[in-house]
Formats: sequence, C-alpha cells, structure tokens
Amino acid sequence: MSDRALNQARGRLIVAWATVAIFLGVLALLATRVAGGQDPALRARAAAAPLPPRRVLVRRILEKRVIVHLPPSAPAQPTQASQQVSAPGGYPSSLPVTRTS
Amino acid sequence: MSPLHDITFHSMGSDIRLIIENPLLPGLDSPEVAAQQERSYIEDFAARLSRFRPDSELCALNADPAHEAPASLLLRTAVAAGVWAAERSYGLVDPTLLGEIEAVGYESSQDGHEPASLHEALTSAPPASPARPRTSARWREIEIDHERATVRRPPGLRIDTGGTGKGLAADAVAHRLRGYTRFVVDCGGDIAVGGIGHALDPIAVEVEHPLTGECVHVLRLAAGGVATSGLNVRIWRARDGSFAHHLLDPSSGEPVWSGLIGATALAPSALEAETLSKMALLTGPAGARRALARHGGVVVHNDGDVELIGPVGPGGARAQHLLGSAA
Repeated sequence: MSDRALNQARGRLIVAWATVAIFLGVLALLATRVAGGQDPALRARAAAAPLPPRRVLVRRILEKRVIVHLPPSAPAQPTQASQQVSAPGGYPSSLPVTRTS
Repeated sequence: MSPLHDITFHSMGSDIRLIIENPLLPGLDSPEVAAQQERSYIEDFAARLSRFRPDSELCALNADPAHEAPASLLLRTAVAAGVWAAERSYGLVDPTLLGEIEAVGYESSQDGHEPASLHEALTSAPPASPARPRTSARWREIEIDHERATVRRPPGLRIDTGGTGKGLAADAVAHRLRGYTRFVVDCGGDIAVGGIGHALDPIAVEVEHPLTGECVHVLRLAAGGVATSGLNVRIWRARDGSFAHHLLDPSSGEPVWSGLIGATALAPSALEAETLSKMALLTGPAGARRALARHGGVVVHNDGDVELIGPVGPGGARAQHLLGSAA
C-alpha cells in the first residue's frame, strides 16, 4: 500500500470516529436532559395553548302549577228550574256558572 | 248600562239560561221576545236530536237501515259537529259509542235521577289511566252530504250527537243573537258569550267544584265559549254494584277513570270548549295540560285539588282567582 493510500484510509477513519463521537456526545446530552425531566417533546405539549373549556348549556324547565286546597263545605244549591228576571242594571243578578251537566 | 233580560228554563236534561241585553240595531225584537224565541229554538233542537225520544230525527237516522239516509240541516249540522269533535280530539270524543254507552247502563235519560256518590265511586275506582282513541275510528266512515241532504254511514253504525249537543246549541243561539249588545247562552254549563258589550266589559263566569259545589275560580270572557265536563252528575251504580258514568274510554268502551273528576275549558266557541273539556277529562292530568294549554282551563283532580292551566293560570290575563282574595 502506498503512502497516499494509507493517508486516505487514515482520513476516512478519523472522519468516522469523529462522527460517532459527535453522535454519542449529542445522545448523552439528550439522555441527561430527559433524565432530568426536561423532555423537549413533553415541554412543547405543556407549553401549547390550553384548550378552551367545554361549554355546557343548562336548561331549566319551569312548570307552573297552582294547586288549590279547598276546605270542605256543603254542596251548592241547584239552580232554580225556571225563572225569569228583567233587571234594569247592566249586569245579571247572579253570575253564569260553568258546571257539569 | 242597558236593561237585560235573564231567563232560566229546563231543557236538554239541564238548566238553560239566556241573558240578553238590548239590540244593537233597530228592528230587532226586544230582549224579552228574543229570549222566548231562543227558548223555543233550544226546545225544538233538543226534541229533534234527543236519543231518548223515539220520534226524534236522530233516532230515525239510527233506525234507518240504508247506507244513505235523509237528514235535515239541523241533523246534518249536529252529525258534522260530532265528527268535527272527533277530529279535533284525535278520536277521543267519539260520536259512534252509542252501543257502548247503552251497555254500561245509560239507556234512558237520567234527567231528575239522583246521581250516585262520586266520593264512593272514587274509593272503588280502578287505578287512574288515560283514555285512548279506538283504533277502528268508525266516525271516519260518516259522510255528510249537504247537496243531497243526507248522511251516509255503514248500515248499523249508530250516531250519538249528545257529546257535542249543548255546545253546538249554545253556539247556534249565540249566532242568532249576534245583533244584540251582549248576551250569554248557558246550556247546562256549556256557555257561549258575545256582543260588543262583553268585548268592552268581559263577563265573569264562575267555575263550580264537582265535589263541593263551591266556586273555585272566576273566568272573564269577552267572547267565545267555556264548558265543563265532570263525573259528578251522570254517574250511577251498574247492576253488579260497580260505579259507571257517561264519559267512556273509546278504546275499551268502559267509563274512564283518568285521575280527574272535572275539567273546564275555554275556547273560541262553546263546541270547541266542550270538546276540549271532554278531551282533558278523558286524558287525565298530563293530557289535560296539553289540551288546555292554548286557551286555558281548570281541572279538578280525584282528591279535589284544583289546577289552573294555560292563560288562566299564573300570569294569565283572562281570569281572576277568588280564593284568598276579595271577590
């Protein structure tokens, strides 16, 4: 092997060793940071903008009921079967009643 | 204030009351004469449409074996009102339940009969259940032909116009009285109100409690109708000792026990009010709230509690509540 060929082989070997050394150096640096809780991927996610809170629509259904409790009392007297009234005023003598018939 | 004429008489198995004020236009009869004319009209109406009078037009129609039978304008209108009510109530107020109502014991008029105790009936009533329309809906097979002056229906299908008769009569008389300042037509609690006077000064109508007879509410009407259906009047003991009444569940043909004992409805007409009040009573508390939501009404539960629904309820402008206030 000539001197020139030896020099070329030595140069390639140096480049290869240098590449491996740089790779191992960077790998060691990253491993150290990950071990220290400084995972860049996790940090990027944590640094992202927080999600907006979910909106929950609450509908309240109101049902109005009026319950009237009546005190017990005697039944009303039935209407007189036949009667006629002519009143001078503008209103009847007794109010009309809606009832079961 | 102008003078009014107030007349009460008995017809259609109920007390009928007419309140008529002065005519708006010259040439119309006095309120007194008009009241007598309308009394005659109602008595004729009742005689021609009663299912308890063998000589009535309704009985003649039901006895006619032909598919198409002649019918007067009044009879055609009454049949049309029954079909309209069935349509309006989704088949709940069914005019073809004559056989069923006779089968439960309502074969003859109960006018003057003492009703059975509603209190006792409720203690032995089955669990509350809303009525449902009959799937066959035979009322859809009824056809009214005004050109030929006939009614067509399958032979043997009998028609009962009683479920809508009082409301229709009240509307008919109200229509005849439209030239008067104001009037009230009360056909046994199914009431039509009209006239310019009432539009300006609504009349108060009391709602009677079916158990106590007390006034539980006052409705104010400018026009239109109000009607009440309940279990407290047409109620009797069947031959087996059980209680029965005249408001039937179309799906079973049996008296309904829906959880309500009374329902009062407001509507633009007395016929619609009568239909809605029956619909409310038949469908029970939940159904009544739907049926009465638009025009308003009052229902009475089995335990006697009174519930106001729709425009007559809280915030409604059409009613004045009496209890607890100076009436």
